[in-house]
Amino acid sequence: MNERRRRVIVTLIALAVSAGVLGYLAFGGIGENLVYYWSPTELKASGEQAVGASIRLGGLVQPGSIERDPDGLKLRFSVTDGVESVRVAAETVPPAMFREGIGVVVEGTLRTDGWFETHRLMVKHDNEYAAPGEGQELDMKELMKSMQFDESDA
Amino acid sequence: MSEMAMPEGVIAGGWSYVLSAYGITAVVFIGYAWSLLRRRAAVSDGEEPK
Amino acid sequence: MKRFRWDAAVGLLGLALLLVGSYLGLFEAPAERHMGDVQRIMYVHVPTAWNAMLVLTAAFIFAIASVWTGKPKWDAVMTGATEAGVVMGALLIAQGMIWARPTWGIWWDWDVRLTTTLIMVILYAGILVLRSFVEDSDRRATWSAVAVIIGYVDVPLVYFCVRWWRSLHQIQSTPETVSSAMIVPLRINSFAILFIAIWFVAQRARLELARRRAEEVAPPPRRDRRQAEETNP
Repeated sequence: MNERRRRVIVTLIALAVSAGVLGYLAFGGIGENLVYYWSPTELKASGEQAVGASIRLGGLVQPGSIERDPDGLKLRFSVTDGVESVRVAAETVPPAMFREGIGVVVEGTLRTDGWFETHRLMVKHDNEYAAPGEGQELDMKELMKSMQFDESDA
Repeated sequence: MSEMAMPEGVIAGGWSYVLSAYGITAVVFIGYAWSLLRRRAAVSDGEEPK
Repeated sequence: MKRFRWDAAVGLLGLALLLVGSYLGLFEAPAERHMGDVQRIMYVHVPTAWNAMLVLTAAFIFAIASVWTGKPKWDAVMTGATEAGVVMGALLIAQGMIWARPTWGIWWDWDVRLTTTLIMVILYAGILVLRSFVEDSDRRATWSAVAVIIGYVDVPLVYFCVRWWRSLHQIQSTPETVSSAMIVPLRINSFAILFIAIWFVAQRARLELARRRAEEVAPPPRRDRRQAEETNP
């Protein structure tokens, strides 16, 4: 009986610790310290603070904003969240999927002149997998959902 | 959209990645299965390992 | 003596399904409109992910049963499910890195999905390593079950983190966001890897029970016990 009770107590304690840690991570507001990338709006709102620090900026590639150097080494485009946009200067070869309207996360620094300089350009695609000819058209509002700007504003 | 000559944003080829991913899956599954059978055979508990 | 082994039948069925599903995924399913052929990695990566989380969920349930009842069979299946989870989790990360390079442009980044998945693999691998150091079988069962229960926190985190926080990894697809032509190989390989995982868990559980029987037949040498006492006075 004593052994039985000990086993029950150990099980319950382990479950309580498990549930407690998960609850804390889910609802404890740790997300605020865990921002993987900034939106253009957040970056602009932070003003001078963001200049010079190594950060990540996320958003969609603004249609019509892509400029490439003839030599192919420099790439310029705007990252937008639908409200604000930030001009990005990338000195890197972009992934093959890089295109207008696709989600990107760029790692780098904000310059005083408002340009964001990056050497690490990552494509963040959405959860849609379509055969050629299928799938939705370029709808920035719909595509913006994949950037999760609302979810992370907790 | 834009009149610029843009790459269409499509990955061309890439079969080497596909084969690597399927290959590593096969290697891990076969390797782990082999390890399970070998470890079982190494235990002498009086019962015949099948 | 030949007798019917249900787990061998399940494992072979899984293997056959994996060959069929992979054939359909590699050669019959359409290329993705942007990812092209690289998207075919999905047919092994996603089933591996689902089943890795599934076996670790099973390990969590077996761990509760083990510490609650103290029966060796629960400890054995818990060990099997944990080890299968580690193997499949490590495979999952490798597949993911191979898929990330051509699509995202990088092999790895410390986003929340990738990080929690790596933590998951290291955590459960650590539990298995620590487990192997405990000599007393009852104590070994209790402590590893408690560790598996507490460590399980990370598994729902792996699943939900992409919904809760911003990440490089996209959120879960749904049947509405995946072309119907891609669904069949995905489903077949999901069951295939599930069956293979069941075979892994069953084999590892049998191994654990066999080791336990062997320990009872021939207890470990005294030298090890003395060493254990010295390090743990």
